[in-house]
Amino acid sequence: MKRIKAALGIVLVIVVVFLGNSKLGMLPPVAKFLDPYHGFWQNSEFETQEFEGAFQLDGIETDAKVVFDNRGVPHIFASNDHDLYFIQGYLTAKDRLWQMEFQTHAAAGRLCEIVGKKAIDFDLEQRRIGMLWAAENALEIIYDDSASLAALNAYATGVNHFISNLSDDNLPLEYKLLDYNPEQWTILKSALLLKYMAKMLNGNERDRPNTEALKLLGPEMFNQLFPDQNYLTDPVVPDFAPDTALGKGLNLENVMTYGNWDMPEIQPHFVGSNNWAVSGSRTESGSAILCNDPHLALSLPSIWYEIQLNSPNVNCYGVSLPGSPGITIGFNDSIAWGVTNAGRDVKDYYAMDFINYSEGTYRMGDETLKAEKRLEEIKIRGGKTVVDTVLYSVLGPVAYTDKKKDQYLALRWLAHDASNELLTFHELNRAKNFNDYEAALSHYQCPGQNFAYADAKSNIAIWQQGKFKVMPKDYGRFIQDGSDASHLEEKFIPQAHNPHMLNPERGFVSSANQPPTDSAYPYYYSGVFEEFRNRTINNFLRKDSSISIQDMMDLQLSNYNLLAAEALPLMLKLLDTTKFQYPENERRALNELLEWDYNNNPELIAPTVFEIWWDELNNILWDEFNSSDWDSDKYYMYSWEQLMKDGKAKVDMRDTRYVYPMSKVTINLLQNAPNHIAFDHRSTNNSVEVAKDVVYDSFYWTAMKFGDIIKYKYNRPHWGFYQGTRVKHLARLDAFSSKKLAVGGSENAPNATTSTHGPSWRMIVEMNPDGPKAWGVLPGGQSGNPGSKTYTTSLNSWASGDYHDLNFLKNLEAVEENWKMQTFKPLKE
Amino acid sequence: MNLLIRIVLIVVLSAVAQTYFPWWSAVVVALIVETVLGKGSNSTSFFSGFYGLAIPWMVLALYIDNKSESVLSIRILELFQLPQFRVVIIVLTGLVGGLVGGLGSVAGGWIKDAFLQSDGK
Repeated sequence: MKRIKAALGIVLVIVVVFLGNSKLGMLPPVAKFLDPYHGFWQNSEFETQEFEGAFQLDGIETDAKVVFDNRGVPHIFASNDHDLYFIQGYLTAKDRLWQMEFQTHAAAGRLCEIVGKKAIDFDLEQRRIGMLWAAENALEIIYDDSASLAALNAYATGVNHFISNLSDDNLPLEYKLLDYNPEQWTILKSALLLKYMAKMLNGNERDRPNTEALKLLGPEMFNQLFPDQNYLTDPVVPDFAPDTALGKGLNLENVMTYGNWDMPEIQPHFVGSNNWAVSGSRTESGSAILCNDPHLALSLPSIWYEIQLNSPNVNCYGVSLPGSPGITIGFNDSIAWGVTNAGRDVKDYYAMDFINYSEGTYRMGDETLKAEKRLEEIKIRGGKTVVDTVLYSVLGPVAYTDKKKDQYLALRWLAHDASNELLTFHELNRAKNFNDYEAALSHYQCPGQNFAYADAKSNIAIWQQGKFKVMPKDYGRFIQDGSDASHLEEKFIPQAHNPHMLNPERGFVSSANQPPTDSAYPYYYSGVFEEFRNRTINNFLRKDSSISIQDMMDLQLSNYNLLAAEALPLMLKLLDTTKFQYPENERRALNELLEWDYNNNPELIAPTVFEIWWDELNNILWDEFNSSDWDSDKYYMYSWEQLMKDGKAKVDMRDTRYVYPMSKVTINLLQNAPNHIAFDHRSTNNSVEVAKDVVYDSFYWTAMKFGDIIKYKYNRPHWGFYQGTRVKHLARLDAFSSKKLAVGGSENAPNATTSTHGPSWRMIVEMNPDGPKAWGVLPGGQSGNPGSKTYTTSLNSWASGDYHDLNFLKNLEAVEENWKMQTFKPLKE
Repeated sequence: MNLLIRIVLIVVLSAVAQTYFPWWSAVVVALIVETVLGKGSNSTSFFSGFYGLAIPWMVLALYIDNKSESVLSIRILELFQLPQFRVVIIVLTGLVGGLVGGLGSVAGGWIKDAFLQSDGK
């Protein structure tokens, strides 16, 4: 009897240990996580923790010093490039290991290994669009270049040095929470990270919505509502006309107008950025100024890691991508550069004509070809491994399949091609002049970017660089016939024919995701391009001829909403106030708008009313593209549910196969074609509505919603609160995200801050002949640890529009007193 | 040996064990102390392990929380949707430590019973 009890005792302890050590549903292993010796408590950082001194690093060749300034930005002084990138990898991992690994797991379609089967759709898509294949292709060319290979290897060794010295207690918090361990870093992961960025920046694909809209509207109406982008003014490079012959036009009849393509939903908002450079002839100081603010999903840990890299070969300051050696946006003694997204369509979809999908045979011209099969093993935490077979056609991986409908779409994405973008940044970090910049860009292929340039000799330039196909008109806008072998005859635009200019007469260069060129450009391209921000920036830069640093800050922070400035007067003119039904609501909403100067400032109410009205107007005007169950009653129900739930009036009743036409198209109709058929409501058969009706109906809903927001306190009406910008944790954990920030902005203003996206780094660099001076701010901080005070150090400065002085050190003598210094020594045998 | 001494022993030995081994080494310590020095299963066999772990876990948590000005503990409370008072997470840490420690010492008591019985015969 007692022996049984003793045995039970042993069993009891085993059960306790097992339970305390196991992840239970969403909960981390309870005892393991709460254990103050090794659990989450150990991730709390103290200010008094030992920081300064000498440390041994197994892997560096000679002594190196790192200075951490008052914001914790590391300034690495190494005596060779190997040690420099080793220490960059080591320090980045120390601050950002979990983020680095999570992003590359996401890129490779391996999230199921961490979070279980709920990520299966995401992982499957990553595999099918060929993310890993693209990264492997990139590696092949990276192996041929000794400089970038050496940097990647040194960086990886540094990261792995950090990983191999991790113990239970200093494992980054998210690993403890999700209960897993980091694996070794590889250069493949660095390549994956660049593909992760490529996917993010090439996300504005329109092949499917365009194909569906063409089917719905016919060619004539389609071209009216979804015109090619050359109707927009103020391109990145005006009057750029390299000498070449034009391709032939594509006959619109030949695109795939059948089928109901099974593709992911399109998110109509886009990721944009601003950069510009002003020549010394137009600045107060006489030195050129370069500015850049890349707008990305606002996330914690910050997307960027601020750093200075110094060795005998390089002295460069800026922001790096955790997981990639070198600096992506920054400056050195001689030059400064910044990037924005080109926004051009570099993803083509082809409907493949499979004879037998399971055998992989398909038609291509007169031939029958056999697709290669790639087996993708998706390991699932707490489940059985899923094996997915992806077919690779000569046009690219078959990314979307619907066997029932016998539909197969192959994806030709230029990010699949072997390229070495890293080498571009490696060389920009070391560039001395315009020629170095041009040579550095020659390695750059995807995702296409506008590289702004300024140097200490007051030269400025911009170059839209990327690998772009030579295409006939309308090519790539729709899903195309994949059995046509002529798709295989690809030619690419040479770098010299990519839009660029050096020292233009107007004294500035700029880009804000607008079309790169005007009608002077002989090559065809399509894409999703910005319509408003870019003109506000250019108007400012044209006007001011004695530009100061404060002017540049004001411009980056400008909340001027040009969409509102162009649309609102038209809407007010068309609004028939005699039809008001509930004047209390309608008058109140109207009064907010009358005195507005079109700035989306956080303390104003007008931007909120305008935003609601613009959304309502689009919902009603573009009901052609709304889901089939859209009608007034349903709309009312959804709207008010939404309003009560999160205080937002915006309701997306769009059929996700479509996107609404661009804002400029809507404005043009309001202005020039008030009787256009588009204004007629789909749901009314007996009457024909015109612009006035749509304007009134949408204003009615706006006034009712705005009235209820105030009356029932669904939200605070001031724009900063209403918009409710939040910087979200990468794994979408609210507790590790920022609180709502009362900031202004609009995607149509230079300060392109929305509820989820915004300037992920604001930088201003003055390229003085005796050394650059720079200012910058991140919406976050250096550390990726939610238990560190520097996790969000700069967030408040960012939100209130303040900048930090960036400490670009010429040498170690420039170090200030209260900064901390670490010396790294090689491990002695 | 009396309860207080066993508690003190568990506190000291578990602290040593946990500097080298994971958290469950503290449960093993509670089990061994109770097996070697306990009086078999009785009302005190739970409390030696309970206090032996609850006290140091709570004190260490409190110390870390003070030094780090609660930056992380508040986030963890929010994460698990608990009331955001630091005392909650500190007491919870102590309770969980106490529970696993207490169950360890109870198991120790049961094992001791087996020895006591065979000694008695």
